[in-house]
Parts: sequence; C-alpha cells; structure tokens
Amino acid sequence: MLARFLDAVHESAIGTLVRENGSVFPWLEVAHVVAITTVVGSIVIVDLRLLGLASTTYPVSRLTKSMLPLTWTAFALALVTGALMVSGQPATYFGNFAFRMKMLMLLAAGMNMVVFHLLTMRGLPLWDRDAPVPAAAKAAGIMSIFIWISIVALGRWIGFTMAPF
Amino acid sequence: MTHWMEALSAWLETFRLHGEMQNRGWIVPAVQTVHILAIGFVFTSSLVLALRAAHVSGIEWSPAQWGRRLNRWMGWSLLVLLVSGSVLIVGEPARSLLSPVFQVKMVLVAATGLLAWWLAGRLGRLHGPERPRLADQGLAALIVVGWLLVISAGRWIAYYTS
Repeated sequence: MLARFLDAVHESAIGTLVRENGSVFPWLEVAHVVAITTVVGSIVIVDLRLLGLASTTYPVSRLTKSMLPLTWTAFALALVTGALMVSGQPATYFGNFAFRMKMLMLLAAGMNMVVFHLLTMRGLPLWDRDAPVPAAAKAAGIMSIFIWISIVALGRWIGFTMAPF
Repeated sequence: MTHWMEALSAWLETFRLHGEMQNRGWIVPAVQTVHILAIGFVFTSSLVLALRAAHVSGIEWSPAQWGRRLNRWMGWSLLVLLVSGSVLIVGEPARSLLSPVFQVKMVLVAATGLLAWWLAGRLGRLHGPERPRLADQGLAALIVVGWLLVISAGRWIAYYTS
C-alpha cells in the first residue's frame, strides 16, 4: 500500500520535475531552509521566555500571540517545500534513517506543543507576567529547543546520506 | 584575485583541521547545522524587528526594547556564523573560496550586517509605542531581503558548477 503510494508520487508530474530539473530542487531547499530556520528562530524566542532567560518583561500570552502567526506560516512553507523535495524520490527518503528520525522528531515537537497548549497554559494567567514560570512550562521550553535543534541536524544529515536528485 | 584565492585555498588544505574534516564525515554536517541555526537566529531576529517596525506584531514593546532584546542575540549569532563559516571554508577551501556564489555571499553578509548595525542605532532611539518612520521600515525590510539572499547563496554554493 505505502510502496504503491510512494511509487505514484515518484511517477507524478511534480516528482518527475523535482527529480529531473536541476534548479527546482536547490530552490526548494533554499525555501525549506528559510522556513525551518524561521520556525526554529521564532520558537526559540518563546522558549527562552519560558525559561526566564530573555524577554522576561513581555507577557507570555502576548509574546506567543506575536510569534505564532510567523511560526505557523513558516511551518506551512516548510511542510510544502519538504513534501515537494521528497516527491522526487520518495522511496529513497522513506528508507533513509535520518529522514525517519526527523519525522519522529516532528511528531515529538507536535506532541510537546499540544501538551503545552492544552495542559500547561491552563494556568497561564497566574504566571503570564512578573511571576516565575512553572517547571512544566520550563520543561516544555527545554524539550522544544532540543527537538528543533535535532530536526535541523537531522535535516542536514539527510543531505549527507543520500543524493538530492 | 583568483591567484591569491587559489594560493589561500592551497594553504588552507595544509591545515590539520582540513584533513580531519575530510576524514571524519560527521564534522561537516555538524558544523553546517550550527551554521544554519546561527543564520536562522539572525534571519528571524531581523524578521521580528521588521514586523515591529511595520507595526504588524510585537507592539507591546517599543522598537528600542526589541532592539535591546535582539541586537546582542544577533551579534552573538553573527559571530557563531563567522566562526562556523570559517571552519567550513577550511574543510573545503576550493569549493568555497573559488566559487563566485561564495564571493557574492560574503559581500552580501558584509553589506547586510552593516545595514543591520545602522538600523540598530536608529531603532534604539525609538522608546515610545509609535510606528517607526517609513525609511526605517524600508531599511528593516531590506535587511530581511539581504539575509534571504545570504541563505540562498549559501545553499547554491553546494550546487554551483562553473
């Protein structure tokens, strides 16, 4: 089932274009790097606030509200460009260890974010400003920084373990 | 210029670090990861400053407050960018130094870095909630474009063949 799907993606017009046109993949990679670094950069600004290391006079709620549109827009771009990059040789990507680990880390990032927004942020009014951030929120910040640095590192590792096209 | 670059490239290839980077496959991707994270922090900081300058987001803080929060962060990230970039040059001097794309990237880094430094001084004087002048908004946007071009050139070094 998965093999047939990957084969269909490989044979699609987009997959063929990414694989056979020498400048499509590099430009997709440029857009992917811009998007993923924006995701990481904007998330780290919020994570450092949670850890009490920076922006401590800025309310957490306002900071997340300021950063989230940027983070989500960049994440959407990273998702689209990443999918297009994979479409050129999907079976090879899915067989690559670093790629599978990167997907796993993306899942971990999503779970960390869901737990943070649904559980930890419930008590936000108590520590939104001028109050110590609870341990659970600090843990979410540390986890997030670790996960996103891993995602960038694994992305680079993919480039060194398979030919781009 | 080319002869000078070729001589520099040949000299760098005699470094012990160059040999280590050629023999140990994990060093280049590890340093590239640091390099990408550093440019990511520089780029995102510029983007946040540009969005604040345009009064789009982050308006709870004045431009000067955002500057105090992000300028030192950008400075350290730029330093990491330069150190990791220098290590990558030692690893593959011919591929970088002799590439016109790399040379364009270096000019862009210097120009954009200087513009960012200039903007930092201008935004540092804006302590109120007001919207910065159109010239400052344009300068902030230009810096974002500059870093975008730096990232693009950085990726294209890997694909450019003369």
